[in-house]
Amino acid sequence: MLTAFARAFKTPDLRKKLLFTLGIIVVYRLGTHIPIPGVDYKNVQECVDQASGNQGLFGLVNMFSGGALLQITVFALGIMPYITASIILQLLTVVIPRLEALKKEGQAGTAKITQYTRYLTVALAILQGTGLVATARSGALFSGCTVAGQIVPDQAIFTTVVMVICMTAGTCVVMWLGELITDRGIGNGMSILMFISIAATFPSALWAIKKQGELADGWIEFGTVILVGLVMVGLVVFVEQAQRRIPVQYAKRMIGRRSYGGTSTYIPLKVNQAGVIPVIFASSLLYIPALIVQFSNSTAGWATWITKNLADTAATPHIILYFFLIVFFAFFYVAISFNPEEVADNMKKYGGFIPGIRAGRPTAEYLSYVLNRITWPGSLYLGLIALVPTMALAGFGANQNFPFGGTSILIIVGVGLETVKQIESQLQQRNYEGFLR
Amino acid sequence: MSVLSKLMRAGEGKILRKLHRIADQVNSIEEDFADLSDAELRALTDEYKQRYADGESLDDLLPEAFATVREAAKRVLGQRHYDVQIMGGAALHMGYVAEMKTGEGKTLVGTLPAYLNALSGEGVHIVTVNDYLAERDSELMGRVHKFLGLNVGCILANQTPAQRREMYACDITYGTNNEFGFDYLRDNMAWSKDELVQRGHNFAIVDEVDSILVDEARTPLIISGPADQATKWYGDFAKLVTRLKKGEAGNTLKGIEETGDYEVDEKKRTVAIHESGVAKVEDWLGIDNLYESVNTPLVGYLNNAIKAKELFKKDKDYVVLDGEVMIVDEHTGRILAGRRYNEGMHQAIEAKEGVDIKDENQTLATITLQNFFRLYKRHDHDGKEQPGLSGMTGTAMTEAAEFHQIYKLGVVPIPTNRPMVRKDQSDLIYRTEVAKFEAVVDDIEEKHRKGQPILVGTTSVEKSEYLSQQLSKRGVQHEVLNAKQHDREATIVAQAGRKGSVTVATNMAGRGTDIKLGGNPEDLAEAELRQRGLDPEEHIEEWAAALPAALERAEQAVKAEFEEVKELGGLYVLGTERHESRRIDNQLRGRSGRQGDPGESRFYLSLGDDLMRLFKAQMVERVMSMANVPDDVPIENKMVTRAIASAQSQVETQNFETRKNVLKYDEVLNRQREVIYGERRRVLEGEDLQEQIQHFTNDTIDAYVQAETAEGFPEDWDLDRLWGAFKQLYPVKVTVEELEEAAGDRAGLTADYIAESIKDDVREQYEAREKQLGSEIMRELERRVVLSVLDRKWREHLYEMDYLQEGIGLRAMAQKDPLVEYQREGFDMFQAMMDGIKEESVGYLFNLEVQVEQQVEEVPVEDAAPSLDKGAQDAVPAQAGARPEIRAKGLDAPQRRDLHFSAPTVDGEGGVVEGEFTDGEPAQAQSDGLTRAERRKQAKGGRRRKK
Repeated sequence: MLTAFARAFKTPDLRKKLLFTLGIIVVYRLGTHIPIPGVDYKNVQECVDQASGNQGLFGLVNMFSGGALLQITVFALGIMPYITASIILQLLTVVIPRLEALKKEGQAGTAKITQYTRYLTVALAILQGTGLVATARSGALFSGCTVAGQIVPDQAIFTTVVMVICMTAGTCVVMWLGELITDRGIGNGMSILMFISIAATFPSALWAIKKQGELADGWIEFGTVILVGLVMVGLVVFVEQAQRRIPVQYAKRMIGRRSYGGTSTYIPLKVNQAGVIPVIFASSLLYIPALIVQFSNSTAGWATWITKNLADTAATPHIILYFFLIVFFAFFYVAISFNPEEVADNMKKYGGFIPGIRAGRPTAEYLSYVLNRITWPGSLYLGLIALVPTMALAGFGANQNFPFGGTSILIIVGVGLETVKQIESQLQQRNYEGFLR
Repeated sequence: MSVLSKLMRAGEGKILRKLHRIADQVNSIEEDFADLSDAELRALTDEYKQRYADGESLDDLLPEAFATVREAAKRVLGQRHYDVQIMGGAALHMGYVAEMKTGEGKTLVGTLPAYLNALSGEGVHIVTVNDYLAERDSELMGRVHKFLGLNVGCILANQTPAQRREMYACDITYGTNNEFGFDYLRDNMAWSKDELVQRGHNFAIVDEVDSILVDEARTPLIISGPADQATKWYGDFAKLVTRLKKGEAGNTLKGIEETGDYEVDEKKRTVAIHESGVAKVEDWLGIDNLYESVNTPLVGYLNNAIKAKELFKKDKDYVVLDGEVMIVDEHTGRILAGRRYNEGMHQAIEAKEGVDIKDENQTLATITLQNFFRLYKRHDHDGKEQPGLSGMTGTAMTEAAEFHQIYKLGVVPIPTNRPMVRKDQSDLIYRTEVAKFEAVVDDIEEKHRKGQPILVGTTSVEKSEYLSQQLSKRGVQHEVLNAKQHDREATIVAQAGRKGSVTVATNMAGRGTDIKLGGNPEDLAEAELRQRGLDPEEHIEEWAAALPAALERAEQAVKAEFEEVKELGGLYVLGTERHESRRIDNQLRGRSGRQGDPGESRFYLSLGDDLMRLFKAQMVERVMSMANVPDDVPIENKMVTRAIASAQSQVETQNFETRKNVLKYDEVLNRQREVIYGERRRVLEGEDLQEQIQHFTNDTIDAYVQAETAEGFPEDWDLDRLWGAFKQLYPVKVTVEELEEAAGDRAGLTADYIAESIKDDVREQYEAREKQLGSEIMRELERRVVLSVLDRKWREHLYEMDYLQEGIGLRAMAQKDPLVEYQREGFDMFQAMMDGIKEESVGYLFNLEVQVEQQVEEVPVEDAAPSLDKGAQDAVPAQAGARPEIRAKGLDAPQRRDLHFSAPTVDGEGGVVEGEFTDGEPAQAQSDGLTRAERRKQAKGGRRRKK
């Protein structure tokens, strides 16, 4: 991986792309440190320091924004609204025929869907921004912090509106930065920004573990976590690369009486076809009850039960529910994102087929059969990976933002693999050598 | 995109000002040239050449050179370049796309930069849309250059390679994009240096650049040759599908069952067979499962047969003439004789029409026009590379972003000489096509009665004929200009501007046709001169002398009529349907209102037009159901107008995306092609292969040894298998036992040791072989072997890549970028090909020896090619001609024979010698019943296979 980067830097136009990407990343990181107007930066810092180790509800979102959320900076919302928007649109595509038609239209349709995603991102940014500013104003953002009430000293409507506008604009800029990377840099911009956000929290999280640790000044815990992390990365890389290849033949294979094409055409079905999204779904869903309790401020029986069993990530009911939700959503998402009927239909139209299986419905049935079987181990793996932080909490007393677990590791590995592959393939494009010397 | 185009427009003013300055410069020195005698003017060319050689740049020479050409054109053609034409010429020289409106004399503009860039002696290519224009322009405009002492060539479809070489050697060469592209590909299939026709790609001026780089760029140029005999299956399936019924697609989500036996998607041009169809086919064929691996070809035949039945319409997409299926150009309606669809499609259509089924083709070489034109590079005195591509057209601004993105070409709109006064009327939209044509005929009749000349544009041959019928019914005298009137094209166009003329045309009357009000005086004058027995090529002097007078007479004749027509409002252009892009519409409109003439244009549309039917079907239905408008009243509805605009822009973006996509994937193949063609050129130009063969051998042996010894201890290695492989490669002399002995025992063997000993052995064998054959023969043999293996491997590689691309979209299923996957696997396949070339070259080189002893003289040369390819037979005599020195020693023939015969050991195909386009063998070309041109055209087969 490192050699690929080194070689890439020796190729002029690739170097330009890499430097461009790095430049955008710098801008992005800068933005995550600029507080929005109307916020008392000192108080925020104090609260963040106090709250470290217990980020509560905003944990996941905070992680996606690279810690900018709790700092209430201009990029506080980060790419989260965009990710949410694209997930929502993807789900809607299944439901709304017009969107489905657009998707089938090819490039022009996809461009339109992307445009809708952007609009929705703005809407969501306004929504989430308002929510964040409201909680910050009321002091609920850092419950338990002594100066929580003074985070936003000026409670005037105008200030609030300015804050929301700033955050929304920030999100739009992030979105633009991501697209810039996709267009002129290397890799998928959104994924890279997400990667950066998550990776940015690593050093501090690791350091926190070291500070909390007791054995040999915490160095032993520190070392163990890194070791476990490496093993985890290895495991995740292994599973992420795993795929079932269903061979596909095209009629084109035959030219006259000769046949061409080896095993290069196949449908790859990944073991973890759904990626990280089921985890995000499951945790978002599990936050909802806790959120209700927090806003209702109720102390009734059900509320305490929820706080005890669901809001506490280490509680057994939470763990079990979390696991089953992930398994469920893994199947759900695979069903949505991979439509065997559609795949079979498309193959049929372009003269492709799976050897031995009739085109049309039998192909679709075969595909969904294989898909179901392969998603089983995939979903279990996903559930287990997502539970790693919880186990770490139990084992090490590390905080739940244990860096090598759940969503973060899936994203890091996924984006890392994809980007390195892309760099390599670009390198190859520039390194064609003939047979003569 | 809009921001981008605005950004690009920001520089426009600056460029225009610069162009103005240049025009002023040229004007200021014009008088100095007017006084020069013809001889003095001609002498200037040599002076400029000398000054260029002395280190002056072309930019420095520009004003003088332009003034020279202007003066020459004035004397030879009687046409003086306008200032705007000077500006256009300068823009072209600077590598821009110059947008110039119709009738501004683009052809004349081209003479300026062509002359200037020809001064460097590297050659200038002027690319025209068709052969007719290439010939006409090279003759007409060539007169100016010839007058100035440059030579001018023209590449036409039916020329022999020798003629072509001569033409390319000229300072300025006219020709179509296809000719230039195919000659490039052919040069890269050549078997000896003497067969090359082109001499580099320096500077190209592309006329109608948008048509060539945008419209035609989608489909690659393909040279293919016959591959295999067609099977009987085509006929069987053609009969079979007539019994299948067309139906609608089902949708499981909505619970709609599929109906019929198959469905058709006209928009995407795909078909899909339904379950009931599969069952019927299986039943009729008597097989259990159509989709078993062994039945793969059947699926292809079935799909093609259905496509032939549903998607390819007789007399629209193709015509049947003399028992041959010929493709009709979708844009112009011209018949593309000799071209064939790819991948069995043509055979399927032949089967459908019940005509003789021809052999299947295989791709031998291919390139997209996009990549071909990117080859043009100019080199300045410091050896720095500059883009060498420029172009002109009437409609480029709408595609400015594309030019910039893909070709790095800026677009400069050149102002018109006189202000444009054409009236573009707003569209009239009718409910049905019939009503639309009714209205069109009414309008024509009315305008015709006044005597105003009318040009009617239609989108297909069929529609032009329908309209012609309708007009005849009303007794309106008219001409039809479509592919069937091909020969009379020039005459019809020359008359189209005369009073009272009505011309119904397909897209043929779009680009490049210059309709002059009152008729074309030049045509008249030329006709007169030719009648007097003068030829502009042969009698340059007399022609130049006689032309002004004749022109004057002709001008007198048309002048009165011109004034009359002008009074009537000039040419009325009537469009009957929107085209695929706004550019084509604008081209049609542009026929009217040339050089400040009055004119008028209007489009008649209907909801039944193809564009609407395919892209806005739902909207059409809605409007139809609203429908309280009677058929014969045009619909006035914003929504409808918008829908039409959006349908058109939808097609435009879709096509742009397709082109961009083709390019992205082609980029991969292009890199590979650059490498392969580069290497091939090195071999062709006499690179010393002795050393290279050493490398080949070493690499191959290393790979063999590596593969066998990668795992386990020496005791586990299967050395027998390894030796078996060596034996395939060359007559191995060293044995395993000898090596073991030398190393002590089996365990003492190392991979390196084996490799080294084998390499020593090979070297000995090689030297022995060289001694036996003589080193000269050995070199020649090596060259031939490498070329033939390279060509065959490359050809197979093209297929593999094509097939890879077909299925690569499936990778998106695992959230992988198909393009990245294509690049990766393409690279791996390329590496594998390289290894294969090395291995097979070595194998042939050593194994040919055995064949020489077995195959003695009696085998006739022609029969010596048991290959799949007829081209190989053509090649043989040419081969002999190519290397006479070897034939003189009597060693050439057996050697060639070996090339063909040695093959069966490998894969039954043999070292096929490609040489369809070899030099100087007209007799041979005749022998297979085809002229060179026909064969060449056949080779173009199917470059328009899909939209």
